[in-house]
Amino acid sequence: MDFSAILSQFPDLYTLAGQFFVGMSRAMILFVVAAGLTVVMGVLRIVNFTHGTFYMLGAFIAFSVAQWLGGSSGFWLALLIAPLIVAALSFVVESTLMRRIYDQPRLMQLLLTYALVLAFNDLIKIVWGVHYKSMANPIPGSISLGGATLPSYNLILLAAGPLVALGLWFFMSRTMMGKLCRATATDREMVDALGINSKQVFASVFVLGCYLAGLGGTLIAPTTNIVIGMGMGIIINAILVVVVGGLGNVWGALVVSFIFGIGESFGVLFAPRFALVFPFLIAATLLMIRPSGLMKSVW
Amino acid sequence: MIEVKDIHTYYGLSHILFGVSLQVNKEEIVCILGRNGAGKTTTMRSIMGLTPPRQGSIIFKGEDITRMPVYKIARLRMGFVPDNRRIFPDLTVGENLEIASKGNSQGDGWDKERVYRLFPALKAIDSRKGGFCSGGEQQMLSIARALMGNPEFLLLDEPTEGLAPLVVRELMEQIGRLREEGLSILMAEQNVKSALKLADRVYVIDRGQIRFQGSVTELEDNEEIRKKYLLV
Ligand SMILES: Nc1ncnc2c1ncn2[C@@H]1O[C@H](COP(=O)(O)OP(=O)(O)O)[C@@H](O)[C@H]1O
Ligand SMILES: [Mg+2]
Repeated sequence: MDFSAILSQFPDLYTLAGQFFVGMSRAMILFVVAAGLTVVMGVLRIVNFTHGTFYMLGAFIAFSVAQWLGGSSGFWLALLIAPLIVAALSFVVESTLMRRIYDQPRLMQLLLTYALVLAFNDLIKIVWGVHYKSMANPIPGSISLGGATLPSYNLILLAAGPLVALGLWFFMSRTMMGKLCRATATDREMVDALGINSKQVFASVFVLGCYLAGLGGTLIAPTTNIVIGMGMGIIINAILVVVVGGLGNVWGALVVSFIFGIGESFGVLFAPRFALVFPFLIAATLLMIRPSGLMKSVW
Repeated sequence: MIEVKDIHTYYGLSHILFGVSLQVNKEEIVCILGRNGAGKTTTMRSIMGLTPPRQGSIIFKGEDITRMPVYKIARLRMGFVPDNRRIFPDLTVGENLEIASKGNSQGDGWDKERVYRLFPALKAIDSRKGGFCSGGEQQMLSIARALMGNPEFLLLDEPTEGLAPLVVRELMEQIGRLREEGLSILMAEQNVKSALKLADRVYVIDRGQIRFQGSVTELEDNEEIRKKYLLV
């Protein structure tokens, strides 16, 4: 056997380090989106397909905001306001439609959220047209990290994940609203019996979750083509992350996002033809080991 | 304080309460006694708005609350201590109390310190998760949590269920102290003996109907009712 031939195919350390950071960057986007979804699914107990739509809207709105402002400062303002616009939209959707389905059978919930996905797809076509959009990279160039070269913009992504995790941790454990969220997740009726309007808690959680979806969409916007299908692409992975990580468990979502991101980027390296199925393989394996999710689920 | 007038309550299609009427006056402890499945919990849930009656009416402090949303009823200063305690398991003892103070904006009256003075055992476990508390601790916490909303009227659903006799005695003392603080209480019980020590008046319920109402001595003298509906 010719070991040197095998060894020569083995990627060098720099490539590995590079793939590691690429995987981490993707993991962070996935985490930001999945964290929003896991909070919504954990507290509201609905399977919310529109989460991917709000992610996509985040990207399109970021594109428009950046274009409207022009220059390199456009993206930074978009980062600030595009997720807020998405959150405002989600507030309208929650107060007009979503709140009617919380007590409905799961099939009705799926029907409404899926119908909303289709309706928003058409709306996006009307507003932004059918051609893909792309956005200028706000910080072009690359940097060297641990010997690997990496687009500078990925630093933003690498920072976003921990910031969101920290922010959510603080919100959930230290603020009154966070405590109310955790209480509502386990016993909504009892929350009402304490004189707290659980409908308002639901609305706040939905808006928070969609804010994070919009933030994820804004963050990904400069790195990819902004297209109609991108919502569906992320929602499948995000749902997998939520289920495998434990419904409602932000830390579970963080860990599984890492596993997915790293798994995918190394998968591409070693078995490129199977890269697409990697998340599913990982999810299936983890679910076989722990069917109720890696970490504690609130469902 | 509260007047329940001829209510009929259903769970889906099953008709559970058949014209229940009762009344609790200011600073009174009223007991509703009955066997398992008699309709005590359903009466409590009807009053709290969790399972609103289809017929009849409930008047609380002069206001018709029959079809009011649960959280609004609670804000009129009605406290609810459910039969299975329903402590938020992922929240600490302290957090369980904190969120309960959110429901009532009236800042006077009960706060964490005062609640801990009534239940000193809770103070020691302030940072323990609700799910890790013992049955007795959960029962105290459930009452303490209801107090945080500064209730004038308290619904206590089988507070002594599943507790050791010593704990029951202590709990009953604490409930007695609440009446001295000016609260009115409607308490459901199967544990007739301990309940009767506290109660001012008694209702006996069976199969969704009130079968007896009167004072404690009147019930003690009425062997027929006790034999028929209470098995004591
Ligand atoms: N969620 C429910 N759905 C249908 N029937 C119920 C439900 N809860 C209680 N019941 C029925 O209502 C009756 C009264 O129950 P309940 O009020 O809980 O009695 P108690 O509290 O006196 O033990 C019982 O026959 C019980 O089987
Ligand atoms: Mg009961």
